[in-house]
Parts: sequence; C-alpha cells; structure tokens
Amino acid sequence: MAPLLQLRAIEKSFGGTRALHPLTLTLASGEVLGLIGENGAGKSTLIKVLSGVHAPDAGAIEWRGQTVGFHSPHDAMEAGIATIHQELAYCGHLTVAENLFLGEPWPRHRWGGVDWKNLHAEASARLSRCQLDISTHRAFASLSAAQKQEVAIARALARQARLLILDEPTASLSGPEVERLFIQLKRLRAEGVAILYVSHRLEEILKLTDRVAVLRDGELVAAYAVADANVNRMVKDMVGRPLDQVYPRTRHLAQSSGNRCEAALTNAERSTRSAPLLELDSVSRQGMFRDISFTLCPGEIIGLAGLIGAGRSELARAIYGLYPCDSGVMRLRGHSWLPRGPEDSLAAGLVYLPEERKRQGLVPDHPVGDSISIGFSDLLTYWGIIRRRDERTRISAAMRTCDIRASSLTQTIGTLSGGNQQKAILARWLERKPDVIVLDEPTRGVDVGAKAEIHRLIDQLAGNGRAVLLISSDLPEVLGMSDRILVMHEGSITAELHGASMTQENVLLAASGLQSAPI
Amino acid sequence: MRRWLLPLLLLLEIALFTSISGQSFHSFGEALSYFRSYFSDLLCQSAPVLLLAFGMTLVLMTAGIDLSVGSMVALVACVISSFPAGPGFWWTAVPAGLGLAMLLGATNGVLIARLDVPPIIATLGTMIFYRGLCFVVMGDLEKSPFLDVPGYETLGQFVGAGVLVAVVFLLGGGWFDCSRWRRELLMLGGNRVAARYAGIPVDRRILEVYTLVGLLGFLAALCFTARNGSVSASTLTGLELQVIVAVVLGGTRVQGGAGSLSGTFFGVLIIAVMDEGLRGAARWGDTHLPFKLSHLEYVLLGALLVLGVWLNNRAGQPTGRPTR
Amino acid sequence: MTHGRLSPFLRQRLLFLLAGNVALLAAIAVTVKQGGSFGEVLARCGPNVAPVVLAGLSLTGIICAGAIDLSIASIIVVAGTVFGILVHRQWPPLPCFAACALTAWGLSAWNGFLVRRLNVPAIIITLAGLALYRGVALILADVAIPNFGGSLDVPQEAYHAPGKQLAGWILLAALVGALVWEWFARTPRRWLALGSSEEACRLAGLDPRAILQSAFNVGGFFLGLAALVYVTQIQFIEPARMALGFELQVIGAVILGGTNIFGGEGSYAGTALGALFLYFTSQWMTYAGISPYFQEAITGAIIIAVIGLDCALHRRRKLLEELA
Repeated sequence: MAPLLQLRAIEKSFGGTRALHPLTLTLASGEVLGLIGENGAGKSTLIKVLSGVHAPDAGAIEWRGQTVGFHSPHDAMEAGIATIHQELAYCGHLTVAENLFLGEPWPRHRWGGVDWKNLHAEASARLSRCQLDISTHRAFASLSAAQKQEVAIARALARQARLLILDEPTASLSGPEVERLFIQLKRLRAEGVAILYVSHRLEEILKLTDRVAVLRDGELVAAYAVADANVNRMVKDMVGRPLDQVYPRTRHLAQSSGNRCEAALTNAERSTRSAPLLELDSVSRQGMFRDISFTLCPGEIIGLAGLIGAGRSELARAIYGLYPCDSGVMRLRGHSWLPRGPEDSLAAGLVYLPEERKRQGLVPDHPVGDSISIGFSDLLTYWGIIRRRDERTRISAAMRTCDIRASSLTQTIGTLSGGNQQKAILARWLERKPDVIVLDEPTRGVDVGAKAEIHRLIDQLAGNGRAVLLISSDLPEVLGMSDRILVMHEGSITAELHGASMTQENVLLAASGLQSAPI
Repeated sequence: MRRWLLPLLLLLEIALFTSISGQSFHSFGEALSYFRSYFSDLLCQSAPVLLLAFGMTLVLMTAGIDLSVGSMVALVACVISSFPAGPGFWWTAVPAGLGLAMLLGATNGVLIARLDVPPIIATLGTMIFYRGLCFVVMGDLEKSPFLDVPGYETLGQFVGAGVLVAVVFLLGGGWFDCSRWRRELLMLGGNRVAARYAGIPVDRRILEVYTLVGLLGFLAALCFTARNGSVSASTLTGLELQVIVAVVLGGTRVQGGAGSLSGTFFGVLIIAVMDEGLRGAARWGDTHLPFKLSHLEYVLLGALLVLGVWLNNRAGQPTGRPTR
Repeated sequence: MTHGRLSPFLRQRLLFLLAGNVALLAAIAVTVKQGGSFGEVLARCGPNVAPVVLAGLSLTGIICAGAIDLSIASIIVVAGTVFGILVHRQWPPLPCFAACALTAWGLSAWNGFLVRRLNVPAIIITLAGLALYRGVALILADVAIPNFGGSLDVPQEAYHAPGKQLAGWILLAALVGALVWEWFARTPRRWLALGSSEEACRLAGLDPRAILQSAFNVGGFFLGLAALVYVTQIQFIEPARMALGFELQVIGAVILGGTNIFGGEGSYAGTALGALFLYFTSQWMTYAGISPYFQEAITGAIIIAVIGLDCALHRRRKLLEELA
C-alpha cells in the first residue's frame, strides 16, 4: 500500500544554522511512528514543517500520493494533518462545544440564530466518539491539562485528520491519564489514523509505537521496528558520538586515573573536604516540588535530571528567589538563606541561567554588549553612572572567555545563533564571578560546536572551585558532566546516583518513577 | 536617520510659519532679534510640555503610558494656588506641591506595579480622579496668587524656564544616558520577564518612573503657573495628548524597549512651533481658508500620532498586531 | 445549564451590580422626600443613561475582541456637528437623525479599517482619533456655516424627539436587541474567541482582522444610536466642548460591568448594569447633597478601586504564569 506521508529530502535552515539536512521519512496509514532525538536534533523543526508553520527550503512532501505545499497551519489542517502542540492554543473563555467547532459552520435555526442545543448535541457526539465524558457546556479553561488535550484530539479527528502529530503529549499528564491517552491512540491506530509521536520518554515510545525514528543534528540516523529497539540502542543512536569527546569532564577524569568510578569518588571526597556552599533541607512548595534535600559543594557539578514537568525549573527558580518556598530550610555558606528576589541571589553570588533564552533571557533587538553587561554593570557604577571604558573591557573579556562570535558589541543579539545567544547570557553571569551557578537546559537548541564550548566553560567553573547545579533533559550531557546526579520525578527526588550507578538506565528509570532507591 | 531629520523638520516648520504670518525682515539685525524673542517665547511656552515629555519618554520606554499628566499638573497647580500669596509661598506652597505631585505619580506607579493594572486603564482612571479633585479644590473659581509671589515670574521667563529645562535635559538627561537605570528601564520595557530573571527589580523601577513623572509634573506646574498667572479647575485639559505625540514623533516606540531624549526634545519643539504657528497664522487663515486655522491643530496632532507610531513600527522590528 | 457562557467571575459581578443598583435606588428613594419625585427620578433615568449605555454596548464588543476605542466621544461630536449643520439648513428631522447616526457608524467602521490596514495598535489609532475627529468637526462647522460662533442652536422640539421622548424606548429596544443578538449570534462569540487567543483563531482558519473589523462595525451601529440620543438631548451643539470626558464614563461603565480589559470576557448586561450603577451613584450623591465637585472625584475613585481590585486578584496567578 502506498505510504500516507512521504518526506523526500526535506531541508530547512535558519540563518546560518542547518536545522534539517536532507531528510527522508515515510509513514503508513494506521502506523504509530515514534520520533526521538536530543534537544536541538530537529524534532520541532520537522513538526513545524509538517504542520505548515514553516515551508521547507528544499525537498517535497507527498501527502496521500500528491505533492503538497502548505502556506499556513490552516492548510495543513485542511489537508488532514493535525498537530497537538505542547502549548495548546485555545479560547479559554468559550465553551468546549464552541472550541470544538471554532472555524466551522455552526448549526442554525431557520431564522438565522445559532441553534445552541444542536451545537452542544453535535459536540457531545464528537466527544463520545472518542469516548470522552466531558460536559460541552464547561468553559474550556476549566478543563484539566489532560482533558484539554483530549478535546484537542477529538477536534482534530472530527476534522477528518488522517495524521495526528503529538508533541510531548504526556509532559503534564499523570499516570492514569497517560494510560487513557494510549488507549485512545491505539484505537485510532486501529481506525487507520497515522500517528507521529514525538517524545523524550523512551519507555513510552517502546510501549506505544510500531516504529522508531531517531533524529540527530537534523538527520534521520536510524529507523527500525520497535521490536528491535531498546533504551540503550535508542540512547546510543540519539547521542551518536563517543561520549568522551563531547564531555571534557569525563575525559579529564578518565585521563587522570583511568577508572571513572574511582576518579569520581576521589573528586567527591575532595569536594566534601570544603564546606558546602548550598544546602537544601526538606524544601517544599505546594504544587511544584516537595521534600527536596541536597548539598552542593565547591568544585562540584550536580546534575538534576528528570522528565519535563518534574519540577526542576521550579526548584531552580525558588533557589534563585523568584518565589518563596512553603517549608524547609535553605542555607548558603552555612547561613540560613531566604532570598526575596533575584537581587538577593546576585548579591550573594548565586546566578541562574533561565530555561528559555528567548522568552526569559533576552530582548531580541538589543545589542549583544548591553545584553551581556546588564548582568554586571551594577558593579561598575559610580553614582549610578556606568564607567563605559571598564564596561567595554569587561564585555570584550567576557566575549573572549566564552568565545562569543559577533561582529561587534553593538550587533543585535537576536541575529546571533542560538549557541552564541546562550553563551552571551552565560557570560552575563560569569563576569560576576559567582560561587553557585544554576544552569537550566544550557545547551537546548544549541549547535554541537557551541555545546562543546559551553561544556568546557562549565568544566572550567568547577575546576576553579565554583559549584554548579546543572538541570538538563539531555541524558548524555547529564551523565557526562556531573559528579553526582539527582533525579526528580513529579516534584520529588527519586534517586541520587554517583559513581558506577550513574547510568542511562538508572536515570531513565528514576525519571519515570519506576525505581525509587539508588543502586 | 531620525537624528538629523527632526531638527531639519523643525527649521522647515519655523520657516513655513514665519512666512505665513506675514513677517518680513528689513535687516539681519531685525531678523536676529525677532528670532531671539521667538525662541525665548517658544521655550517658555513649551517648558511644561518639555518637562513632562522627558518623563513620558521614560514611561514609554517601559512599555507603559501615562494619560493622567494633564490632570496631575492641573491638580498641583490648583493646590498651590490655594495657598496665600507672599514670600511665605516658597516655603509652604512649593514643598506642598512637590509632595503632592510625587504622591500622585506614585499612586499611578502603585496601581501599575503592585496591583498590575494595565497602564492605559490605571492612568485613565487617575485622569478622571485627579481632574475631579481639581474641582473639589477649586470649585468654579479661578485663582491667581502667583503674581504676588516675589520672584515667581522668573519661572515663566526665559531665564527660569531655561534653567529648569537645561537642568532636566542636559544634567538629568546626561546622567540618564550614562546610567545603569536607563539600561534597566530598557530591558524592562523590552522583555519584562527577562528583566525579572536578570535581577532587575521591576516593580520598584516602574514605581520610580511614574513618581519621576510626578516630580516633573510639579516643575511643569511651576512653569505653567508662572507664565499664565491663573489657574482654574479645567486648565490643561488635553495636555497629555500633546506630550505623547511629541514623544512618539521623537522616535520613542509605544511598545517599549527603546527611547530617545534628544528626539523627544525636538518632537516637543516641533509640536510647539506648530501650535504657535497656527495661532500666529490665524489672520492668514481667516483670509485664505473657509475655517479657523486653529482647528487644524487637533487634526494634525491626531495625524502626527498615527504617522509617528507607524513610522516607528516600520523602522524597528515589525511587532505590530491588529489588536491592542 | 449554560454555566460556560457566564463564568463565575461575571456572574458574581452581575449579582453585585444588581444588588448595588437596588441598594442605590432604595437609598435615593429614602433621600428624596416626596414619593412623586422618586417617580420622576425613574422616568428621567432612561433618557439620561441611554447615551452611556448605548455607547457602552458599542465599546463592549470592541474590548471583548481585544481592542479599545478611545475616540467614541469625538465621533459623537462629529455626528452632532453634522446633525447641527443639517438642522441649520432646515432639513426635515428624519434625514437629520439618519445622517447623525450614520456618521457615527461610519467613523467607527473607519477606525476598524485603519487598525486593520495600518497595523498600528487600536489604542493609538483611537487616541489619535480622539483629537482628530473633534478637529474635523470644528472644521466642518466652520466650512458649512458662515460665521460659526462656536455653537449651533437647535430650538425646535421636533428635532429633540429621539433624545427626550423616545430615548427610553430606543434604549430598551437596543438593549433587548443586543441581548438577543448576543445570545443567538455567532459573531459575539468570535469576538470573545479573538480576545482569548488570536493564535487559536488563526489556527482554526479564522481571520483575526476581519473579526476585529466586525466588532467596530457592530459597535458603530450602537454608537450611532448613542450619538442620536446624546445629540438630540442638548440645546446647543458646541463641537469644542460637548461630550468632553464622555469616553471615560463609558469605559468606566464597561469595566465595572465585568468586561475584561484584555478581552475574551464580557457581557452586554454587565455594561448596562455598570452604567446604571454609575448613574444611580451620581444621582444619589446629588440628592444626598454631595457637592458636584466631589462627584467626579468619587466616580473616578470607584472605577479605580474596582479595577484595582480586579487586577490585584489576578496578579499572583499572572506572575506565576509569566515566570514559568
């Protein structure tokens, strides 16, 4: 049977960065294809191309036997490709029925008014076809995250979608809700709907999909039946290159002692000789994280792993002072510490690199020099005036240290590559010579070269006696860079791994809440 | 590009209105003295707007807006006019006015920063409220104690107004351009979330900006009352529009994240020259046009506002959305 | 049954306003000595509150769709000027009424068109319109009427029918029509959709700009009625001074009525109740002997307090959402 979807040699670049190399992929009706890859591998670009947000620079999309070009997301939807994004766009104040029928003709009375009874009846019919029991009269915003997603899927199906693209659908779902989703997806598969399931959660991929496709650096590096897949193979395909080349820390340790496990222990011993910089003791915040305890010593890198939604960024923000904790104690350099805001943290020598640099880190039309100096120019002021020459020297030094490539200090930061932008935000904080550095997904959406540079910087920081808390969803990165790994799952720490127990399996298992005791 | 365009526009405008008003010069000396008094008058007349526009520039930089400046200045003027005239005026009315003005500005700041009311609505509300207070303070009266206060008129003359404007724009503006405060305001207006993550005390900065507007409003009230001599409850209605248009013309974007004080300075002068010019050309208008020339001012203000924002949008990143 | 259509917040607000209005009526009845006068109060209520409610109906749709219109008062001034000119030319009443209403309708639609085409935020376009339209009205008056002294007299009673005798009926008909339309039409729901999430509308294949334009078009219909009633109530049409501050009353009524200033939530019933609330408040203050000078200040304070409370309640959730 002819494949439902065929991507031939699809290419896409943004500015100077190649997001998708010539990519060829096929998908048949009634097939569930799992798409996996590291951050920045090109998954979201591929989704955007398929859903009509971006047009490919080269290559062709064959949909149901015909070559198609989508000019807008609406085109793709009309053609039968429905995308359920992680961030759903919906009209919160309207009812479920109205959201279901948004953009479609509504049933009318003979005299022209909207026939609400019929509208709700038809909406209920659509929902029950997907075995959903939600009142169509409720305001959409009042539904739970899982319910919103289910209604979005019902909407897509009612529009005769033949391909359903799901982007991290289980990120905000609980266990039972995930089960419900899987049952629904399996039913759709039986009805002949093709599903492209994009996720970081490898065990879900193993449970649900028929085939697995692995993206790495914009290329499709492997595709195989799920029967031939296992977690190790998938991770290896995702990472691809030998770990030691990308993660200098491991290499450094391996070189110095030849036995990774021993070296790690020695390092940990070394760091425990000096007093801990940051201590958390049963810290909790309602709805975000609970009972978090750990210590961070100078020269140590602690990796904080977990799935999206585990509460890691929320914890980091609480440490940084953006919101208070409900209970528990935090100590910085041995003294009790209650930051009222980021200013307190900065004054105390604790910095935080935010998760989404575009939304939380930059002003796109500002010059790169200003974006960097905003982090430390308060140290250079005299009666409120910044000493320009000092500032320029410091910015240039920062750009050299972090190897930021820009044409000048005044280049607009929005025009730099993702990697350089990330390094700029990092440089902003490093110039303050902080003692504790919290990094949240520092290499997300960053090209390989910049990634290695950022890792080198992190390694240097630890070598100089700083303490680093590294939050990352990038398994190989966490494994390669950290001295110890804390794994969070649904708001609490489920495992603390060090030495020989720092393996991909243990991290993934703990992150999925499948094993609560460290080895 | 805007840097030389604005002074050029200003000169062209002055030339236009001078010729329309039928002014002719027989000698260079005559022209010189004419323009000297022209600029002196211009500065004194536009001093209040200049002072307020300085503050409005900062407000727009933070992606805010302040519609209450007219009512604020009027209220301060009304309150200080209620004090008895005489030398004691300087020790009673002036400090009271200063305190009041900063309180009014801070109220806006609290509404916007602490209660999270959108600036347009908060300042629309305080605009009504402060104007209402003007009526409470003044009733139907028109008071003018200012003529009996020693030394007060200097604020309405070139020396006084000039010093105030110079201090604010040259000293204040100069300090501002090199300050960290400016960088923080720009980041705040460009991306408030990123500013918070960068450790900028967002709420405090917003409060500071609106309070500063209050302070400048106080200075504007001084200049205005010194020049006009009397106030009533409905003075200065519509002042805020002039200020906003001037700032927008000067190149400051309504969406925040960028701003230019020198542009604002020329923007104010361009509007002031237009204002004066329309008044001066009234006779010409009466003979050549079927309507009173002064009515054109409203039309021009509105058109210039839209033009200014549209040009600013084109020059910067295209971020315009069809809705608010 | 339809708990999706009216969120808990809106329901609370409507109940509060209903209770408040009843309480105010009772307070007025108590303060007014004779029973007869109270009947008069009720009778006068219709014509007095009609312009604000009708303009409020216009503004509600626009704000629900995520925009705003600050120029409604100036649009009424233009409509009034057109009306006055035609009366002066001794046109029969009916065409004058039609011209007045159609002018207002057309200008509102024009606002929508400008927002759509120029890609400048509605707040700027309408802020400019605030000044521009008033200027246009003044120019029109000058051009069409020789020796225009600033005011047009409309003495004949025939021309005052809509504003005086028929105002209550027009208001009732418009309100009933608006409520029925709100219930059975799809367009208001699309406005709310646009105000909730422009992205979702786009993805669903809807055209955000067309939806916004429709809000201005329908708004224009109600604004036309508002202009008709307002203009035929007054004796003298003075383009420079009429309807000053009117837009603030209307915005106050709309926000009090529970419409979310950011769009996505609102109701016609709320706006009507909000306008009544403000009207009864001012009536009660008059009968209770509170000086008219305090009234404007108190009205402003009430509006600020309600808005401030609304926004403060949403603040914490917004902050968390913003940071995440």
